[in-house]
Amino acid sequence: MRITESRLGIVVCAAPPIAALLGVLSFVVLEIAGREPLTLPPSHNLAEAAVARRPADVFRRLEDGEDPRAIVAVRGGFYQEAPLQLSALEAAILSRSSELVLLVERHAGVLDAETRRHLGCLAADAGVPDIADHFAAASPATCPAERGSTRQAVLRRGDRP
Amino acid sequence: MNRWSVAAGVYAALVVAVLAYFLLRLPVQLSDSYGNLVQASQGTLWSLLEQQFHARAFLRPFLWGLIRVVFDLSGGHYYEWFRGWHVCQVAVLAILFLRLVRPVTPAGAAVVPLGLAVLLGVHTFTGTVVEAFPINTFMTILLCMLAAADIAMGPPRWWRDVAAAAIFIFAALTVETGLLVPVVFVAAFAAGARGVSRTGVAAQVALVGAYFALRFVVLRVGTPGMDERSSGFGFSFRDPAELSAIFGAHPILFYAYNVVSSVLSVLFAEPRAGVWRFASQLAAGTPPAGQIVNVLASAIATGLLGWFVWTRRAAWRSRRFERADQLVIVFLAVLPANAAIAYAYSKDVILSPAGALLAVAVAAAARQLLESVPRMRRSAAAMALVTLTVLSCTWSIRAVGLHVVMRRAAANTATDWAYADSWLEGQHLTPATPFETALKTRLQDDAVRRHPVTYLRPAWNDWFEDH
Repeated sequence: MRITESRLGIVVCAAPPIAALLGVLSFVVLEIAGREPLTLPPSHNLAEAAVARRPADVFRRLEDGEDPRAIVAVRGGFYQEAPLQLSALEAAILSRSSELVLLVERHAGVLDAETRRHLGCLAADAGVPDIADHFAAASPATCPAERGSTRQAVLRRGDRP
Repeated sequence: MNRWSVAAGVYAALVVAVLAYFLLRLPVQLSDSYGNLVQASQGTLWSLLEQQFHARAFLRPFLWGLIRVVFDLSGGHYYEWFRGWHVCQVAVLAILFLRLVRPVTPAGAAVVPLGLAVLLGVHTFTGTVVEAFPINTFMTILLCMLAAADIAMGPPRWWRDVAAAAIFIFAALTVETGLLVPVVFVAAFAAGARGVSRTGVAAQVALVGAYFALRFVVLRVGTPGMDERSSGFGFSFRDPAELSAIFGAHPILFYAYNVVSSVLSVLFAEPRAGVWRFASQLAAGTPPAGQIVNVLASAIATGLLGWFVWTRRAAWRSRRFERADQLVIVFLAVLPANAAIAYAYSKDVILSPAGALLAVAVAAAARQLLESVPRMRRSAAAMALVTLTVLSCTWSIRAVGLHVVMRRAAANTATDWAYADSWLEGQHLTPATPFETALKTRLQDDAVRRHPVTYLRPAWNDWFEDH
């Protein structure tokens, strides 16, 4: 009985850390193999990276020349369950990160007044007042009277045939 | 070396390999590394060292010298060299841990996974792997501390005295926590270890005196004041102005708070950096599970050490010390000394030397407990096994948490690099020369392109938010 207790002591002491290490090792092996059950799926385009608030990914894609104005498909799960059609500028605003919006905007070139108005209204709807002010500063925003309608229009864009 | 030590070595190698994988996914930092690299690259190595000997508030010439040496060796491959250096440091740390624990019996080998879980899982260790400047100075000191203990506990040799002096000089002139090295030698000597002779220990004491004379009389470097950093007090962090408002006339009270907080932090994982987070959450009624695990793990480890000291008290009184006694005594000596060094402001990583020696001491005490189980009464044996189970499980969770925190740190660092231009501008560090531009571009490229981060699912980050 005494020997059994001694062995049991060794097991209870060593088994949990060994199990934990094997768990982390499994994660490493799966990640190296390209299967990542514990991580978020990688983005496929600039808008996906922006809406998921991944600045490093956004920066890399901008440096690679992806167009921040282009409206592209955002898969379900990145912002909401349903897929979306967004530009990176819109996606950055929906992520509600002012810093990210400014990063994307720097690579977007000169924006015309209508685009600035649209982005300002979207920022106001998304609850990013400093970005709403930022875009409104260059062209006074005349947003739709119904609050939230710009955001709804952007989110419904993917529904169109 | 026998099959148990080989098994322990294989396990430790696996731990290092996994940690290395996560380390190699961490980009070189922007905030703590870019400016340091620019500064370290100026002039010659000797002019850099001379400049650092005449700095104000801090005396850390070897910290800068080491950065410069690795920088020069890298030949522009900064990520590979600095991250590779970090991996090598972790490997050496694991080797030193094994040398101290000496796993040559089944019980000795069984406590290696537990000891390594404590080493990696303790909150004071996190800062030694998630940050780098771009060499993690605190990790350098951990190596010095464990190497000092290893030297002190070996058989007497003349060269150990010389090595002890060399380690002290290197550590003390790297960062202030290096002043803990003599504490290891003195405590080990007092506990009967004779690897370093009486003369060697006396030399350590003399070198400490020489350090203070050099710092305060010859170079007049001084110390950082209370007005330089934010620090935790009570239930929140306070900026220097708040601290001055609270303690202005009596900074000694603030220093005493920091020392006591630091001791408690190592023993109970609470407070953290001077802030009583768990107590605050407990008062609100809902401490997060991660915090409960942290406090429970540390409290049981402290209880284990208390049990060890109690059972060995008669032997200690008659000055009959075994190796496990020496390891625990060294930890008990370093803990208050480490806390005293953290008097100016509380930060987890400053306590990393005490945290690393806690892991060694817990391994020694756990082995003692394991070996005592067959001689215990049935009820006591059952309680010991339950204690070991909870201890081992909670520390395993904390060790897993370190990896989650490292991945989160990788994402945060990559984010910093995405916003590097505006940050550098704000810090008045905008690259002004072709070299600085090339350095920034290279490090930024490493962070966002060559080694892109993956993002853990939010649940993992939530679970280990309070690691």
